[in-house]
This record gives sequence, C-alpha cells and structure tokens, in this order.
Amino acid sequence: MTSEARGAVAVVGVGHTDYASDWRRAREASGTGASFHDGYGYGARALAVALRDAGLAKEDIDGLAVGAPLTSERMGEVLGLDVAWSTSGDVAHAIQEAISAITVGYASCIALVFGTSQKTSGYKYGGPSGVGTARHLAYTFFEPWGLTSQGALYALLTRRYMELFGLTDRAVGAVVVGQRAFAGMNDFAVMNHPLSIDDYLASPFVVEPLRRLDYTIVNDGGVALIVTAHDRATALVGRRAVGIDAFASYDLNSGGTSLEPRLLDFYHSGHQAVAERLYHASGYGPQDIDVVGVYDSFSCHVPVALAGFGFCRDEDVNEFLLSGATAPGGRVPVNTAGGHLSESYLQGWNHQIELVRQLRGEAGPRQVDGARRGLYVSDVAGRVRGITLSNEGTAL
Amino acid sequence: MPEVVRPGPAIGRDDWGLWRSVADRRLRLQRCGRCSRWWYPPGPCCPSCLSFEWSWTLVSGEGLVVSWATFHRPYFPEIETPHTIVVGQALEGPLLPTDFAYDQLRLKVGLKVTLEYYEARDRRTDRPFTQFRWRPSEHS
Repeated sequence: MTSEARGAVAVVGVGHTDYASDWRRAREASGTGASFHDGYGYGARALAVALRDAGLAKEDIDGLAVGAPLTSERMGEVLGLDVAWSTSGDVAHAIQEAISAITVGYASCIALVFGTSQKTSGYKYGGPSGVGTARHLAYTFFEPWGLTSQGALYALLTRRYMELFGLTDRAVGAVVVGQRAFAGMNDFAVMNHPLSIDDYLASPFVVEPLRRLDYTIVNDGGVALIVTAHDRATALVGRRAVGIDAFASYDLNSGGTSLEPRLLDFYHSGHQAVAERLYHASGYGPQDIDVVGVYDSFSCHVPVALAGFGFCRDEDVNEFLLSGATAPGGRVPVNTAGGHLSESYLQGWNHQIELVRQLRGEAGPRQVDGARRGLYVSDVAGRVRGITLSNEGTAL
Repeated sequence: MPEVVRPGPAIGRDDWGLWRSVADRRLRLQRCGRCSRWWYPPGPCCPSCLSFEWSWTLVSGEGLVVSWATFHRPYFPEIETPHTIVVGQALEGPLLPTDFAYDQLRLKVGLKVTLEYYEARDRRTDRPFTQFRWRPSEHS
C-alpha cells in the first residue's frame, strides 16, 4: 500500500450470525439437506446486524464485496442493493479490493458479506468429492496414492516442521487449548467447554500427526463488515472506528502441487515478503502488535505463521507455545474468539470481526488489555496475506 | 498378496508420458532441453525458462525422505487405514508424494528411498494399472 492509502480506510460496522445456534441447527438438519439458510441468507442476516452496528441504512452502501463462492449479483438481489462497484473473493481479497475502491473513489461505503451453508450442504474437504480442486491440483493429483484433503497436506508440513525444529505434540496442543480457553469467554463460539492438554493428547489422529482437535469446525453461518473512508468512519462512530493500516500479499505458486513451498519452505518466503511490506507500510512490527488472528483451518498454521511473521524463530516456537504465549494472558494472544478451531469456520471472516472487537475494547471477558494494534495473517496453500488494523486514528 | 484397489489416475493432457513410463516400470519425468530442469507433476512447459523443448527422461529412481503422514481416518472406501504417505525428493529435484507399504517407524527426514512399482485395480473403471511408490533403499 502506498503511504497515501495507509490508514485511509476504516471498519465502521461488524455483524455475524450466532455461530453456536448455527451449529445446533446445522447438526439437527444434518443429512436432511434442509439448511436454515443458504449462504445468501446467512450473509443477509449478518449484514443487517452490521448496518445496525454502524448506524447506517442500506441506502448508504454503494459497494459490495462478497465472499466466494457467493456472487455479488445474487447477494445484491437478495439484499435489494444496487451498487456502483462490486467484487467477490476470499476475505483478504475482499478487504484488499475494498481498500482500493475507496482509495480510488469507485465507492465510498462498502459492505463485505460472506455466508455459507457448508455444514448442512455436506461439503467434503478431501476424499473422492472434495472441495477446492479446481484451484489446487494438489487436492486431487495424488488420489491414486490415497492422498487428498488439505488436512493431509498440513499433516505432512507439521511432521517435517516437527522433525526439523523440534515442535512437539504438546506445543501444538497449547495452540488448541489456548484458543479453546478464549472460546470459553465467547458466547457465540461453537466449542466452549474447557479443554486440557491431556484431552488434546487423547484426541484421535485424523492424519497423524494431526488430531481431530487440530481440525477446524465446519459450520454454517454469516459474517459482514462495513468499511468507509477513515475520516467518515470517525464522524459516524467516533473511537469505535478501527483503521485498516496496511495490506500485503504474496502468492507462492511455483512447485505448489508437489508441495515444494509447503514442505521445503513452510511458506516462509511468502511470509517474509508480506511481513516486510506490511510492517514497513504500517510503521510498526511484531513487537508492537497486541492481538493476532491467524487463519487456522488447522492448528499448525499458528506456529508456522508466527515464526514467518517474526514473532519468534522456528527453533524457538516450541518453547514459545509451551509458555502459553498465544493463550489468554500471553504475550501474543492468537485467535482470541476461539478461531476456526473453537469459534467457527467462517474462512477467516470471523477473525476480522474479533480483531475489530478487540481494538474497540468490546471483547468482554476475553478483552486483551489496552489492545491498540492487531494483525491478521493467512497462508492457505501458499497464498500469504497480511492485514494490520489499529484504533489509533488515521496516521496521515 | 491381496489385490490393491485404488482411485485410478485422472490422466490430463500433459500426463500421458508419465503414466506410460510407469506402465513400463521405468519412471520418466519431463526434463528441459534448454536449462536441464526437471519438474513434476507434468505441465506444458519448463517452469524455469518457459521452454517447450523438453523430453520424457528416465529418472534414477533414488531419493530422500522429506516428510510423511499417516491416515487414520479413512477417506477412500478401498484404502485401509492406517495408510502412510511419504514425500520423497528425487535426486533429480522434484518431490514425489506416494503411499508407503513399510513400517512408518523407520521413517526419518533424509532416509534414502528407492522407487518400486506395483499393480493396482482402478475402483472406478475396474481396469488394472501400474503404480509407483517409495520404499526404503536396501542399505538404509
């Protein structure tokens, strides 16, 4: 991001469905194919909450960024929303595009909306009818050897990382237990009963070394954010405006199917490319960040991303996690609403809501004291993304 | 030995040379005629120099273990668990993930492995096909 764009955009409203109720309903409907809503319905529900949160009317929205695989055409139809600008993609793409659109002037107030009925629809991640195969050949090419599923690919990454850097089961478990402890302070979390390290170690392997508890919770639900120019956001909601300070991305495509960037690099060259540009554009670095959201379809994302983004070295990540650094009261609280592992799998969208809550000081019993700066990172299949947010007002 | 049933390969337009070489039990991968780079899985051109002057070239069949993982949850009805996957790096460079029919406790990063071939039946088409995988090298 150029210095002109830095801090120019802020989140003015957030909304989401009640993930715990979504989960109960989805389980009851499991196998019947009858979801409470489709993705559009969940998204609409979340946007209604976000509009109330921002004190805005639907008519104030002139841009629409929709979470894939939803389309902006149908989402806009469901919402009765005609817009000057639209896009669709994953959450990082939606935010990146929204920053650009507001900075350039294509739109002034953008709704970012995601919804999914992946649980009741019975989406499979891996196996003979897995999701995501059009984008990543690695999800299907190795079927003749019985290797599919993102979980298995991350199990391979975890094993090698354990062998090279001494990461232990207990340290991976500390991520899971820590996020669950946060979820215990979040009424919306799907899984909020306490978990001990022994519970974790007793969890059955899915693809060893990853256990059931290392895997995300597939759920239905919806999330929405509303972003606008920072000065307008401040005029609308005062100090509850949360600035998006910087965005950076880097795609590691070379050798992706044969898992070269995943296994030989742990995506670190992408992490470092993103971290360097993100921290430079933000004017702060890992030592200044109070709360972190990591895209955690699997627990192993957390140690690898923290090392990649400069919070500790690969060799030290085991001790770092065992010390409780990412858990409540830790030095670098990670996924403070429970993340995908314990709150809900809304594909990184729910992480944005939690960072905004923390930076508004509205996270209730799990509030990180004095949180001023937040970081979101994702590195799914080598597509590394970083976003910094703060409550410090525009830095211009 | 019980019959091995597997999901058969979905052979894309760039993959024919690969599977023909596997049927001959002598794996060939694409190698660039200009810069000598090897790559896998197959693709239309050299990912280093974009040359289309490549050929299906015999590999040594030797490699080193990069990582491994063991399925405990079944994902395919025809594949019994536990089912171990090994990623070996061929001496020529490419990483080749395959199944592994030996004791996973023997595995470690850098273990020397050699390609072996076995016959399988495609669950979907019922046709036999030849398959390759890593095994520990004789003296490792």
